[in-house]
Amino acid sequence: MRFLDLLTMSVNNLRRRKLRTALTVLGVIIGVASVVIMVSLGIGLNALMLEQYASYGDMTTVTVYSNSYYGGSDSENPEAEFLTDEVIKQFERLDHVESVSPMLSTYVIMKQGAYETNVSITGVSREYLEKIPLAEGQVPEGDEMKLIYGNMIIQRFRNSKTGAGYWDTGELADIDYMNKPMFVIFDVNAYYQSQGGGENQTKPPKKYMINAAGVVEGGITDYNNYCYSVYTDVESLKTMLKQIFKKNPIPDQPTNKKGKPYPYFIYEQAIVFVDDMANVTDVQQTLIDMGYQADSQMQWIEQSQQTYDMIQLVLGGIGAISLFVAAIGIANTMMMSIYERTKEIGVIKVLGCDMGNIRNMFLIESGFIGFMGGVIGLIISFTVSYIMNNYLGIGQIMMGVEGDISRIPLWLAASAIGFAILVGMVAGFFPSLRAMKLSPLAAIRNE
Amino acid sequence: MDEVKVPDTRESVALRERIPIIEVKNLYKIYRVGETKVYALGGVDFTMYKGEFCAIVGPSGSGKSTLLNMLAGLEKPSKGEIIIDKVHIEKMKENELVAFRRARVGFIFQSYNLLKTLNAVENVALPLSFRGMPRRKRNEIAKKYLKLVGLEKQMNHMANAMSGGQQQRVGIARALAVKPRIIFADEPTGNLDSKTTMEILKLMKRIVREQNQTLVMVTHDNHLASFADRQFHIVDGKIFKIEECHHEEEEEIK
Ligand SMILES: Nc1ncnc2c1ncn2[C@@H]1O[C@H](COP(=O)(O)OP(=O)(O)OP(=O)(O)O)[C@@H](O)[C@H]1O
Ligand SMILES: [Mg+2]
Repeated sequence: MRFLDLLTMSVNNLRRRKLRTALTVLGVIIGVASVVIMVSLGIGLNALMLEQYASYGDMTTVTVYSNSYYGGSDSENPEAEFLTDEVIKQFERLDHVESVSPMLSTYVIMKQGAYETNVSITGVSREYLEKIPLAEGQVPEGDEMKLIYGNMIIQRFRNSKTGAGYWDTGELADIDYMNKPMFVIFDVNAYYQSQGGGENQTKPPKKYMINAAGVVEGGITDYNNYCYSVYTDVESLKTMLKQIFKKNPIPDQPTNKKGKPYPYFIYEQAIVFVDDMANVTDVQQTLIDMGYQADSQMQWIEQSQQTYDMIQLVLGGIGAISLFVAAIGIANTMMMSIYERTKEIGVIKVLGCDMGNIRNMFLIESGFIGFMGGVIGLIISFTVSYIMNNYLGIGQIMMGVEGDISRIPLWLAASAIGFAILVGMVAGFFPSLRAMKLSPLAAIRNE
Repeated sequence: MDEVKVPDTRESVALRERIPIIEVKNLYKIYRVGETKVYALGGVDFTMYKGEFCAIVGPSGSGKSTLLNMLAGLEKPSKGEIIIDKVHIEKMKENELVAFRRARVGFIFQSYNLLKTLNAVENVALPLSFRGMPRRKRNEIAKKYLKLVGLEKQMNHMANAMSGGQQQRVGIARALAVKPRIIFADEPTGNLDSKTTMEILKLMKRIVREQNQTLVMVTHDNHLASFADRQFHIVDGKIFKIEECHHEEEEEIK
């Protein structure tokens, strides 16, 4: 028998008992809608959480620290664990690592006009700089040292005469990053000594005039990953530091046991960029195995994700119960229908309808009930989801973040319909076997 | 007249060559009802030939339907052999039996058994659809056979919008449309009045004769049975006698 003929027969049979079909389909609609809505809530919650984490920082990065840098290591030769250019290259060769940026911080004093502040300048790689979203300016070209200012840094400047800052007066410092140079004092100790007064007053250290390259995107109160730092190209920072301190120890750089500086730069951190979120944990573990401390957002996310998986499971389970009830409804309807059509089934069997065709006819019938329920249930799910997202603001209430609490991705929609058809067919399977095995003699008997 | 001669010669050819199409050997059907055994058939032997019109006659409860059902593969015999078209059907599995019926057998029911949701054409085309024939082709054939049984005007009627006689004509068209070698009919006129009965009977006989098909009809009416080429009389599950009829009344039927 042709599939089209089978389908026509099945659909005709369903149309014969419209009310009963409609009621059975209604069961499936409720089942599918509750599963889809529940799962969409789970997905929504999870996505909201991820978005929240993403706002705290990049999720594909691993931050690496060295135990030795802070003197925390009790190993015999701490040099082996320092983060040096050598080690950075080694990291870059790891699988799934896209690039590695060292982080070299130096504590400076910045002055412009009447304002000054103490702040760290962080030297990072070019790739790192390129990832920073800028409100104005661009990543510096060439060897000259230029600064990128975090959008909240301006809060830290205070009037050097009164000592009052933004937090005291509520007035922002009158700083123009882009058009006026910043005067930067690198040798902070020497500066304080020169300010001390009295006999051992020394000559104040040299101020350097450094131009800005850009300002990070965002208002002065908008928190982001880059808002509180001042960045520059690590190479230009290294050149600058060498030029300033010459053979003297550079502040914040570790010294050996004899108190002598090392002939190379030691970074306090390195940022490892991983190609995909899924590989972050692996890379992090590799780095830990190499003897470094490594942190990533992923480790927190994974924990929360487990919690959300549980929530998802519970929500999905609640929905699944109603789908299960719907499946029983389908099975019941099919049994009824077969019972009513015993004679008809007998007749087509006498006329030579293949047993497999009879079974398939009923499977298509129950599958079709599932299909209709799936489609309508999905439409209802989308409607409910839309209402929840746009009118109720549940996301705001539950998570405190803007965003859709209920999300129905394509895979969920497609698998909901697929699953509804499957449920229909599974529910119709035993009834259809029964129909297949009905005796053709039923057709002969006259009732 | 030519018309009279043509079936006569065919019949005589068939009788002369006598190609066996149904062979039954030592056939038993025993039903168990509680402790007792009911011998619905108690050892039946006979042969039916190609192109024959056979009637199975006997009183109520004699085992006629049981015999027919086993010949059509609807029931399994308790013992014995049934060879149809040189194939043993008593050992076949159910799906093989279905395939066997689909390929070789037409069936006419006493209670017509049309599908209520389908119209006349679709009902006749139904067994063709089981063979996987495309819709247009099978509807064409169905219409041809509906014309043959005289239902040009009722082609698009739903099954229960027709009289009993009309429904049975549809039933006949349905049995014939698949061009079966054998047509089984269990009291095909049992629910019809005597005038319609004669019409239906003549119709069946004419078409089957024209297409050289074998018709096996169960009836408890001796008069109807007398239209057959041979009558198999059954009493208490045994063949009581086989009677050959010579058809001078052939002309009367026409
Ligand atoms: N399923 C069954 N279980 C037990 N006994 C049965 C069964 N089917 C038929 N019989 C018995 O077998 C015998 C033959 O029955 P069958 O239906 O063949 O009679 P029949 O000749 O067709 O009668 P009728 O002319 O009334 O239709 C009867 O005695 C009947 O009681
Ligand atoms: Mg009977």
